[in-house]
Amino acid sequence: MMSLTLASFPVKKAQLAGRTEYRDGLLTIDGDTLRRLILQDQRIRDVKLELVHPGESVRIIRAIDAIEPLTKIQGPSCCFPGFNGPPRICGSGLTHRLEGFTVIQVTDFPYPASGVQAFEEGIIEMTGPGAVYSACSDRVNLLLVLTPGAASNNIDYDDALRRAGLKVANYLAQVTKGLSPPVDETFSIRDETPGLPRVVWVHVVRAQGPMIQTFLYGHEMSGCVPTILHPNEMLDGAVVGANYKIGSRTPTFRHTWHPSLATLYRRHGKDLNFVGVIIARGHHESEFLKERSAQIAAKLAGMLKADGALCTYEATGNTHIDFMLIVKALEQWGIPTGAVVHEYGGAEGKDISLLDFTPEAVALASSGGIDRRIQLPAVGRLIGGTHLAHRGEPAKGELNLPLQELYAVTAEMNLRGHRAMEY
Amino acid sequence: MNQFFAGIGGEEKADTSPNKKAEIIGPGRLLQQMMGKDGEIVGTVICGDGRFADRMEETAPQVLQLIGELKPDMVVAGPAFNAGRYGLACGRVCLDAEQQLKIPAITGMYPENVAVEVYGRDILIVPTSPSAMGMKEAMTSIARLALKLGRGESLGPASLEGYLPRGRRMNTKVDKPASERALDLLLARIRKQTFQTEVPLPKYEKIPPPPALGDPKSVRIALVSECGLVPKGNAGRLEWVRASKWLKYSIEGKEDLQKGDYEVIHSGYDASFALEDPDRLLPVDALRELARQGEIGSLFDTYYVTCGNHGILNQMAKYAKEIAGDLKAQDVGAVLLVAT
Repeated sequence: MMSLTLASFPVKKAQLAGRTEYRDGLLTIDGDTLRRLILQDQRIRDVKLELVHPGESVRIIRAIDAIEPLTKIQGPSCCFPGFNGPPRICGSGLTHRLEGFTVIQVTDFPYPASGVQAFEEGIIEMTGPGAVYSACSDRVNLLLVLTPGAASNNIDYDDALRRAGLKVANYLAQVTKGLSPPVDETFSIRDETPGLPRVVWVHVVRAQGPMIQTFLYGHEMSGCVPTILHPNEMLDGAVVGANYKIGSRTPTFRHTWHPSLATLYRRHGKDLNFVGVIIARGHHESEFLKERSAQIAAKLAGMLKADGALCTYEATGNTHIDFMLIVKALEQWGIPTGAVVHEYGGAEGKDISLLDFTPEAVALASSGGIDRRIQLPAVGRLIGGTHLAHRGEPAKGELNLPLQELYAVTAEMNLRGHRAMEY
Repeated sequence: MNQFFAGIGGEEKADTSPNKKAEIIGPGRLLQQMMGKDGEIVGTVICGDGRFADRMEETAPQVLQLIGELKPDMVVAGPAFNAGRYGLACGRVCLDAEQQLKIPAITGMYPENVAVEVYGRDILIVPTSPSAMGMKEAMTSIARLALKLGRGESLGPASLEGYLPRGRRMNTKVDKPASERALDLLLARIRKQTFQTEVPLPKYEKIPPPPALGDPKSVRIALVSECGLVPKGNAGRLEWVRASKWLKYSIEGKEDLQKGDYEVIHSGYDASFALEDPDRLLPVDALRELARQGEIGSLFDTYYVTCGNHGILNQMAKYAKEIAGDLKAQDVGAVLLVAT
């Protein structure tokens, strides 16, 4: 069974210069090399590099994915398999990561789009009251501000920018090759402690279609029934986020280090045995497909002999229904659940906070109401455009928004311990 | 406070008119003692709880006027414990103080006091014991929250601050990620320990549809509705929101309901079509016709009505049970339930 050593090189500061190196938390990036790497793909015409640090008066709009650089130093396959190499099973050997650093593509899409294909903003606030709700606000970020090139359509361009981001991530993490890491940790679930409950993580991801999808080993998941992953495959980037729908999305760096995975690994061998990850598609089009998927997810948990399931999901209404059906199926299978839900309830939290529920969902942890509003002050620097994509209003000044329009807000609120309570 | 806590008298003095005193009286002494130097009671407004309940629309503004004259930073009403009329008075005073005087207000009640259902979503109430035996505990909570509010501080969640939840779920921050708390809940379940979900599910009783009538030709059918249609004048004083009662009215001898004989007190829908012809709400004409043709046994000569506007689910369920019991006793076999 898989054992993965994850060597972490924390990045506290980054700068652009004529070389690429990592030294004591300072990442120096050779911008020209990076530009050449990105512009090898003719579907991208130009790229501008921007570095953003926590606490700066910066607002980032048009943020696409956010990737924590990972690279395989030793062992089979690669990191982000299916993109940065063949789709071979990852999760073993030695992986280096630039911890606390993210590569973020920032771009407009080249062709007009409407309906679900239209881009909906997830705003990153690097400082101010919005920062505690915005993913990446506590990280050093390299922004690849891209200009579309010869892409035949938005889906084609989306493929180009995803490959560019993952390629850059690999290149940057490679800078640590040969260095001894300040921190390393070996992850394995091979050793099981008798007497402790077997717990599986059920990770429901949105797979609606282009602009709102998730990749597993390089292929999008819309045709996928629930399947089992070793948690180390998550750590190595087997799952890549491509859901750009406002705030309730999971960028790649949250798939490679998810709060659910982190807590299960930390407590593995202490008060539970972590037995694996069931990844399930959300946003099925029919009740038939939803039930089919939920049943298969519960069956897999049963075959893993799970004593319980920690269930989390990304996205909104449709996937929320998939999620509740999975909770129901697990409970009916005799596998108790503990599940995380983000809530609605209106600006004042007075309305019904769950869009859907099943009476079996008796152990829910709240990651907060995402339609409460927030007042954001004007910022010194705006990156990614001049106006908000979905609202059309000027983006640099004061904004008053529901929390769900901040970048990857649901996972961020989960991680930072935001929750809704009765007032 | 009411006449009883002000030391004026019991039920026989329940009609005491609103009046104010500069001094601290009754439970105010305990409140002042608990606030110490951090707060000062600037006066006491007294009103008989019977007077307030029976003539609320006239009395509430008078009480509010007296409160306003004292220029307080905040208002403490009651506590009312499990006294229904006193609770409703305290609730109304707090609501008016917040909405009209724009100052914070607080009261205390037994959680099952009827006024909690009426005002609980709009005002701040600390839970108390059913009787004044729990005065000290009640005042301890009230004093602590009154000082906070009087200083203009905002309150934290109900479970931490010790007041009754007002049906608002607001965000707050705790020290563990949600994933970890969900895992804690899961492990507690596996270990058969007690656990408390963070997101209570809405509770709806599932009512299975009754079997179809075998033979309607022999069945006596009654009309029941929450439409708020009452005989002109509303002598039964059915309320336009949060109805506190259900009523029944005779339709004996009526072949159809005449325009002008009825009014709709429900304010949640456009009733102009119903006023034009009340049979559009309660189809007495059609049911009489069906009875004549022998399609149904008969129309029961009494209709049952309440007002569903802002109806409180628990109260409505209670009215429904009472109405159903009444119908069964009268040999009614089916109901035409008209919803609006």
